[in-house]
Amino acid sequence: MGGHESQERGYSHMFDLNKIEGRGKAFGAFILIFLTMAVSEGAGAKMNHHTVHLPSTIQGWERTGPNRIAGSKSLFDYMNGGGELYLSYGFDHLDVYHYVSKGHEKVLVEIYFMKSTDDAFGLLSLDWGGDAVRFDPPSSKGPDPNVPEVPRALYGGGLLRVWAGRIYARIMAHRETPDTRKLVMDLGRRITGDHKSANPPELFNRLPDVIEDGWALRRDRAGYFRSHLVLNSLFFLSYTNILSLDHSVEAVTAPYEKTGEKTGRIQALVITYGSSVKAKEALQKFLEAYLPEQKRPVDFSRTSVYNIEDGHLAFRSTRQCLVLVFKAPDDRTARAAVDALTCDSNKKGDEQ
Amino acid sequence: MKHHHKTITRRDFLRGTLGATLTASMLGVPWMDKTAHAMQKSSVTVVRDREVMDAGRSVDTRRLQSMLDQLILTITGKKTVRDGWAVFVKPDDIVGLVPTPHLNPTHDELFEVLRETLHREAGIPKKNIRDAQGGSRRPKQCTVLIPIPALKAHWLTGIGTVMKNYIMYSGRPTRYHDEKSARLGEIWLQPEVKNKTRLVIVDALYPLCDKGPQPDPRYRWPYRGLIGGTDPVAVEAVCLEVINRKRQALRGEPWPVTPPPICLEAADKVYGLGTSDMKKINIQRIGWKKEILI
Repeated sequence: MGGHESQERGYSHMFDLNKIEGRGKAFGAFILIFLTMAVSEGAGAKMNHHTVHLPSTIQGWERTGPNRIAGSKSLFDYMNGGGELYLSYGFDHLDVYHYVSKGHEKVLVEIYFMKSTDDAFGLLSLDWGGDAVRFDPPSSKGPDPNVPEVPRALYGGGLLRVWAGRIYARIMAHRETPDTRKLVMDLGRRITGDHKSANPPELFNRLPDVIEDGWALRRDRAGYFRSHLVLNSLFFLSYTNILSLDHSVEAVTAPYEKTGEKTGRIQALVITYGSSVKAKEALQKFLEAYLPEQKRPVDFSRTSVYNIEDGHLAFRSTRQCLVLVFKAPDDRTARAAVDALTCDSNKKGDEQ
Repeated sequence: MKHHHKTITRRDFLRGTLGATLTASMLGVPWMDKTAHAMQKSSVTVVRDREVMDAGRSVDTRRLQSMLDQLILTITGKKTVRDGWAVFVKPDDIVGLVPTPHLNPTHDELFEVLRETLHREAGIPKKNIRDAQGGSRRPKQCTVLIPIPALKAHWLTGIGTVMKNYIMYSGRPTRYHDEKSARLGEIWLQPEVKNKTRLVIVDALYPLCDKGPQPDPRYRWPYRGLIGGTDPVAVEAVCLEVINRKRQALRGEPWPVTPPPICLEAADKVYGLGTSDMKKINIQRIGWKKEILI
């Protein structure tokens, strides 16, 4: 099945023809050329912040929809517990389209309109697997050295996932064939349209690539989120919201790995709250749930380290920021990791 | 008596203290100790056929029928399919088949083959073989329930296959989120459901090992199997093992479902619905063995 082949390429294989092997190379070249030409012809979909107009027919495919889904109940009716994922971010509404060919092939289009570009980014960030696809032309200014290059669209197994401004879109072929792939890519290009690309959230950008002593960031496993439900899907801590996560906070989590003589993996978690008071309250709540045996008063502004079942746990709260590191092999690594991780110190709000 | 609520965390799974944390004060039912389960062993059957589904994912119903027959014969140990089904149903039963209705649904072909089989082999009129998925009125009308869920991981509960299959019978599925998913077993003990489940058959033809319930083709694969047994918890445990092994194969390293499926252990040790311990489950493997994963 095609999805397997693209499973682990993800982040480290930005759409680079040199990295596409075998027969995929020629096809990949065709796709890149096709997409570049299509963009340069300005054939994007009409789009505003609340809707995207997709053509009723494309190359023999007929469209039905959109079916607009707004509100948590409607979303639950549409996808049961799957809807909780989108509600965990700033969900506004969903437009659903179906395309059917004369040969009865089907493509499902789901366009999630989120309240912010960060929320739409967060949905893409939950899984960096797949082949990166580029619909927008490279910036004439060149890449911003302060912003890591991230894929805006990822394709694998017949599914294209797109981040375009406040939109997160899933375009999924019921069966992956050359024809369905062509339509999926065409729709992806149209949805992206001429929508101005946004930068990833600053909190995500701020993850250091390397922590002392050779611990390298696995950015292909880094996720941006606001909910403990999403955190649990990336790194399980507790079924209960022990870190007081909600739509007012931002959080990233990512593993750092070390290879060589001593391999290992630590998990970083960085959270920004609305105020320093909320950050400290969250840390207190975390301690009571996660380290209930810890009775001594803790100075939250200094790094604390505890050796527990799966390694060293370290944390520190500075202003609105809470940094936690899990599974560190020793005290020194745990402290170094906490020191290296940081939040955005320029956020408005309580600066105590 | 005031109950002290203790939060389940990652550390409980690492320390093996999940049982102690899920106490009577939380679930209202005592956590069974080890001795109560010491002698329980269960059997789960996995039947696979490489030809049951083609590359276009069309299902060969003849081969599916054969798989179903083999499943029944292996589970019951009987010599004929008719005698096998007679272990579970009688001609005057009203049988509720409980499929996964959408988002990686149970294959229609399995539902139809099963219905035809029950009619032909067990002598049950077709009007008494019903789709019993939905609200609590549906199981009330049935004397026998046969869950036929599709095998899938679930982003909220780890796995969303057997134990979750009856969630709509609760009338309030949102009550079973977060750590309250441990309570899924209680639905199986509701009066309209209790003791009606004779057999579980999991549609493992084209399972989903991540991102469920929302379909994601990158994580679906043609396992081409049916997984069945009389112990729903044991069947779910084997299903979980299949999913976790597939995830490991995809990533090249252990990649267990997250969050850990708390409902499974609770179904065993709180609600006494069956065995979740893989060491106590005997797996019978029939048919195609390639990449069977267990």
